[in-house]
This record gives sequence, structure tokens and C-alpha cells, in this order.
Amino acid sequence: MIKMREITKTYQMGDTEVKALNKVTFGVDRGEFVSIVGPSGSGKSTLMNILGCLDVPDDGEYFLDGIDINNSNDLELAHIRNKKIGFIFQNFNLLSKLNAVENVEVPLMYKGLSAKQSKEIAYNYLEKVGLKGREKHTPKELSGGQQQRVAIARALVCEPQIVLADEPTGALDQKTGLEIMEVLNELNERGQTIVLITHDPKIAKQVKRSVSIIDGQLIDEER
Amino acid sequence: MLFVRTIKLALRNIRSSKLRSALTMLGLIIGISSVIILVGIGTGTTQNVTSQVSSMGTNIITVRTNTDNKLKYADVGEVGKLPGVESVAPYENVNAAVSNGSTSASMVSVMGVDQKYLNMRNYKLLYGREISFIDVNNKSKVCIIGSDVSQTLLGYSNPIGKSIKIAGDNYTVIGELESQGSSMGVNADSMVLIPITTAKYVTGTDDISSLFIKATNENSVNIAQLSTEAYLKASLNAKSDEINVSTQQSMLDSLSSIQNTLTLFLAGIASISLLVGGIGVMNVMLVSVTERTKEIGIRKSLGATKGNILIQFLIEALVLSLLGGLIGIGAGLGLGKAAGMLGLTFAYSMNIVLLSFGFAVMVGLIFGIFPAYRASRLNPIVALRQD
Repeated sequence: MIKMREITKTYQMGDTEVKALNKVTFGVDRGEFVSIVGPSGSGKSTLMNILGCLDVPDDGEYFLDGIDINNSNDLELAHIRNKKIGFIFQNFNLLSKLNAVENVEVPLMYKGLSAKQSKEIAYNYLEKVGLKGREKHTPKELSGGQQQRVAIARALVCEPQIVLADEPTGALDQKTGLEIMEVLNELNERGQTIVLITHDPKIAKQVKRSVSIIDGQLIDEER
Repeated sequence: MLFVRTIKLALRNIRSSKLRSALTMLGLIIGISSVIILVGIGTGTTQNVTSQVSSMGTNIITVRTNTDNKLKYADVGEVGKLPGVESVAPYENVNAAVSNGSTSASMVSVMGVDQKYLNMRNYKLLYGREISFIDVNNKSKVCIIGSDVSQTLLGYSNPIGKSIKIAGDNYTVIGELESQGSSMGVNADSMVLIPITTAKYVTGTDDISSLFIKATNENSVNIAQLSTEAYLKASLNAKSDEINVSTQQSMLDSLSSIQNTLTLFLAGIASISLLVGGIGVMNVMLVSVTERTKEIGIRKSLGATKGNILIQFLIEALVLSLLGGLIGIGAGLGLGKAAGMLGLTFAYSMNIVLLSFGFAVMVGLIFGIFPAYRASRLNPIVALRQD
């Protein structure tokens, strides 16, 4: 599903060059649930951005579902983000002016579905994440856990090959965090490929396969 | 589909910041309504004057002379025989005070005319009769007065048979003109017309400085004009700048050129305010893009292309300008009508309405495109990191 080979990304910070990623080689198979764990500044956000096609590496190869990401243009990357990737963010990143169902509809809109179709699908997915009856609530009217469920529904709605979860429990209390992890585990059991990025080794351990990243290098890979 | 949604979204965003949107639109509203009002009043006024000119008849020629050798009343008959000329009505301004013995009328113009004058000018009588050939021949002391003069000197009653004093002499009123207000700088309501031969008593000469000439038909206007000019030049031994022979058509032409200049001028002023309105739109859209950087980042992460973002912000600017434009057109037409009630002539044409509407769309497009372009170019990573 994901094949990365010797991915390098360098940032210019004032006068100094920072190597955010240094020859990272990494792969994810279909149906896997992988966590990438590392402290802040380790390069995991950069890795996430590149995995999510928000950014392109300076060097190396990245194939997502057989597509050469390095040789894709902006328009193609936007379509890839739309159809193949589902993002879940730490701070949910819902559009505050839209209600739950409208938020979930956004990716479907960009996919080009009709209003009727996308509404039907969005309602369906909100029900799947346990938010039936709260479709018309705006993010402000929802708890953190509920907001993250909306975000999960939004990530899934285009049936992506891969879900990228960036600290999905980071802004939640422990109990709610565990609930969200449960939702992700259930998803994975139904065959969804998930990459979870976290700084918290405890959360990383709840996941089948865990990879650590320090100073821009993947240093070990346990089971 | 996406398009309809984007319009709905734009309306929602405009509604969610009502005050800001209203103030932004105000610039456009003022711009567009001032285009409509100014151009409307300009067009209305010139249309008014134009219709006054053409109501005098397009086959009328006016002649004014300022020569050393004066035209005499006896020569007028010769002008009447010139090719293309149907009839000639001479007139002479007389400098004389008009009173009823105790009250004198101010701002009165006394003119010596002959029996053809009323017909030539299309003046109608409310009471009494015209000045006749016999009045002219006999140098009768009779007069036709305008309605203002009649009211001032003789009250509201029928003035026929009463007498007024012109330059100290008694004149019998034989007619009163229908009130018709001022037209082309001539106010018929404050006129006193006396036989041109009688005017000689007052002026002491039988010089004629002005003529109205009626051409036989519209096609012979030019012939009449040329022949009159040639005749007057030869008989008075005059230079061409001492004789002014002008047709109604030439006056209409110069009026329409004045109208065009005026309209252009007003439209120019109004366009400047539209430009300012457009800058307002751009300013607000730029602020909006900055404020919604995070939203742009989220949308891009969900698969929005540069085009999607560009169109979203462009449509927002367009909707804003269109709303402003529509309100501006409404306000312009409304205020124009109100100005019409205050006595100004307001004429709006669909062209101006459509033009200003088109201008509003253009303002939205031109001033919206830069902010929208900026929004579309935002780097999603940077945009997502924003709070």
C-alpha cells in the first residue's frame, strides 16, 4: 500500500538546515494498523505530511497504492488526498460554520457527488460512528469526543485506502481517548489500513505494529 | 452542483459577518446608485431641452444680426421670397417698463412682433385674439400679455379690453397667452407682445435684429438657411460672424454633443466611486482569506484543488458585488424617482442599469481574483498549522 524508500526532507530554519527526515525507508501493507511514535521535533509531522501528500520529499521514492507521488502535480495530489487518504487531526479541524453532516459532506463535494448522494452517505457514516441524531449540530455544540467522531466519519467517507491519524487522542481526556482508539481498532478489524502518529508510547503500544522515529530516522521496528 | 453549494456557502459567509459585508457593499451601492442617478438626471435634463427645441418645429430657422447696416421691417418681405422660405416673423426686443399705472411688472420682456409670430412660435392664446395685419398696419396700441404679466398687473380675471402702460403709453390688452413656463431661456409667461410697427414709437427706429424663418418643409431647411445667409450678407454688406443663421437641427446637434460630454463626465465621476467600492471588496476579501487560512488548509487536506479554492473565494467576491450592485440599482432608481418628484428630470435607460450591473460583476471579478488567487496558492501544511 505504502512504499517509501530513502525519503529525505530538509527545512531551512534561518541559516541552518534541518534534516527533518533522513533517508527514511518505510512500508505499510493493506489492512495494517501502524503507529509511528516519536518525541516532538523527531520529524514525525513531516513524515505525516509526506504520507498525506500535503508535502513532497526532496529526495527518495514514495509510492501510494502504486502511484508515484514524487512525480504527481498539485492537481493530482489534491485528487489523491481526496480519494485515497483520510485525515484525522489532533484538534479535529472541523469547519466551525458547518454542522456535522455538512462537515462530513465536504470531501464528497470535492469528489463531485450530488447533494442528495453526499447527504445520504454522510448521514450513513455519522450513524456508523455513533452520532445518529446529532447531524445538525455544529462543532461548538459537540463534545471533543463527538467532534473527533465527526472527523473520523469525514476521513472515511470517501473510502480511502489509508487513514492518517495525527495524535487523534491528544486533545481528549483519557476515557474519551480510549473510546476513539476503540473506534480506530474496530475500523482496522474491518480491514481499514491506518497509520497513527503519536508521541505517546502507551498509545503506540495499543497498536499491532509500532515504528519509532528520532531525529528524522526510523530507528527500530518492533513486531 | 459544487457551484450551487459554493454560492450557498458564500451567502452563508456573507451573512455571518453582516456588518462587514454591509459596509463593503455600501461602497458599491453608492458607486452604482450614483452612476444611475447622475447619468439619469443628465439624460433627463438634456432630453427635456431637446424636446423643447424640437417642439419648436424642426423647420424653424432663427436669425440674429449684429450688423452696422440694420435690416428694416420693409426688407422682411424680401426674405420671405427667398428659395425654401415659407414665411418670416421678425421680432425686436423693446426696452420698456410695463405697469398698470400703480404696480410695475419686473422681468418683463417686451417684443415688437407681427401677425406671424404666434403661429411661428406655436404659442396659443388663453383669451382674446392675435395681433392682426391691421394692427401692424395701423400701428395700433394693442398688446398680448403672458400669464404672469396678466396676474401681476390685472389680477386673475380676464384681461381683455383692459389697458396697461408700456413706456408710459396706454395699450389695450387684446390677448393673453396660455401659461407654458420657461423654454430655452425664453419665458413666454412674462412676455408682452406689441405690433412691431408700434414698437417704433418706443425704440425710435424700425430696425429689425432678429427673425424667425419657417422653411417650406424639413428638406428645404438647408436651402432656406443658405439663401437667407447669402441674402443678408449681400444686402447688409455684413461679415459672416455678424449674422447668425441657425437651424433647430444645428441646435439639436450641439445639444446632443453637450449631452454626451455631460454623460461621460458624470459617468467618469461615478466610475471613480465604483473603483473605490471595488477596492473595498478586495480589501475585505484579503482579510477574509487571512482569517480563513485554517479553513483553506482543512479544505485542501480534504481534497480541494487550487481551482476549488479559487472559485470559492471568487464566487464570494462576486456574490458580494452582485448583491451590492442590485441594491445599488434599486437605490439609484428609487433616489432618481425621488429627485424626479423634486422637479429634476430623471430618465433611466435599461442600458445604464445593465451597464452598471455589468460593472458590478466586473468589479467582483477583477478585485476578487487576486485574493482568491492568493487563497488558492496557500501551502496546506502552513495553512493547517494556523490557529
